[in-house]
Amino acid sequence: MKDSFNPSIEPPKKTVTLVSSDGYDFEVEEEVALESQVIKDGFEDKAVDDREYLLFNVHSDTLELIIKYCEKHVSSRKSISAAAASSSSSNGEEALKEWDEHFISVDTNTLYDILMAADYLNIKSLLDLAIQKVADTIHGRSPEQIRKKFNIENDSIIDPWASE
Amino acid sequence: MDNTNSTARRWEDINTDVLVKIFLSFNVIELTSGVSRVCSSWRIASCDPILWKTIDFGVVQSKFIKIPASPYIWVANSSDNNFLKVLKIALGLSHESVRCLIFHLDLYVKDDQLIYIAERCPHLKRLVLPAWNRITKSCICQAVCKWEELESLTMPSIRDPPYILEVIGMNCKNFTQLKVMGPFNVLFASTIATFLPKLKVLSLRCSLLCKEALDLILESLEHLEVLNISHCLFIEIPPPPAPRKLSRELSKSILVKALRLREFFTCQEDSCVLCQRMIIDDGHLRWYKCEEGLWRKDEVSSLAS
Repeated sequence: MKDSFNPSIEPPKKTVTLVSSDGYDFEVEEEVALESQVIKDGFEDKAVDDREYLLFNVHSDTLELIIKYCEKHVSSRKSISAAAASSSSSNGEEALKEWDEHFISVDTNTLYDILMAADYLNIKSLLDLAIQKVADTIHGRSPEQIRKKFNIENDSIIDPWASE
Repeated sequence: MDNTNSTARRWEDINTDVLVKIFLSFNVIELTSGVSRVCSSWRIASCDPILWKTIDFGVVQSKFIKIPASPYIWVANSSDNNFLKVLKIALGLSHESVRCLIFHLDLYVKDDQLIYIAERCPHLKRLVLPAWNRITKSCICQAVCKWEELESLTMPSIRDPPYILEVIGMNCKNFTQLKVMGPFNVLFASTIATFLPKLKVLSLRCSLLCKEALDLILESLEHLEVLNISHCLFIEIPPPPAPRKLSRELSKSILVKALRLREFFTCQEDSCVLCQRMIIDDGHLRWYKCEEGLWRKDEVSSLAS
């Protein structure tokens, strides 16, 4: 779906174009893009034919994931509120939680990319999800194990724990 | 165009705000012995005041045995040393941003440790310190003198409360919330009435509560808004030779006096685990027989820790 994110044939939905750091265009529905608080802020000020966002810090690989996440959340929200309106029982929220968990089960590099992108684009629920995942990964590890896991160089001169 | 994302991921360069959010889910041990030691940028993030507003030492307990003479417990050196180490690093990272300190029911803080804490937490507002066995009178008073902003305290029941409540009354102008863990008698009640007349919130949950003391509290604390006497056993001491009487019933007169309170918490449920425990333990609740962490709870949300 990298170059040609094909808009559907029926009723033309409003779309915006997101351009990744490596130059790929992603055409997404407006409401999906608006999951990002950064895009939302000042969205109205932008002319309709100028709804293109250059995301210098987000690689296409990551952007694809981010869009997938936002699309899922927009559509789930709709079906959850539809179920609530018709007062039919729904396990939508549970299912979404499971989906999130699966979505964020990625290697540390991808996790880093998602974390950075969610922070840059200010997508709160995704940022929280990534933060929780990083915290879970750190839990129970020694500093040395953390460094190894995340490939961090130890530049500390003093270790307060050891120096005591 | 480059098709793979090969940029180096530098976890040490994540912005501090995000790192702090990650660290928020860690307890004091994980912060002091884990993430703060990874690298310099993680260390800087681990000094963020948000992480240190509350230090919950609920995860640190002393290794101790009970002994028959004062202070009635003996604590292993190794456990004292470990606590001191965590304490020093935590307070070092906190840079005086601590507002709330919570100590475990089985963490026996010593005088020198308490002074160390008092000196480094000048803006303390809330203290949960339920074990005073190894703390001397002069030392706790010295500490309270450094805590002018103290508003809330959870303390054990002590035999001679005037010395400390007087110091709190004199030094801590905004002090309004008190929780006493253990038996509560008339002396305690009258001491509160004398030195803390502006008290607004009082929790005596799970106490062996003297009926006259309860009367006194309700009659003399004009500013009292919230009182918690859940799971209490009430004790009546009639003139000798009549034996003392234990009961769980609240008299009508108490209920009437309590009407003026904004919130009045009681619990006399037969099915309540804590009420049952109070009866089994004759009013001196053995918390170690309860589920861990139960001692920290409180029906008054501001006094739950």
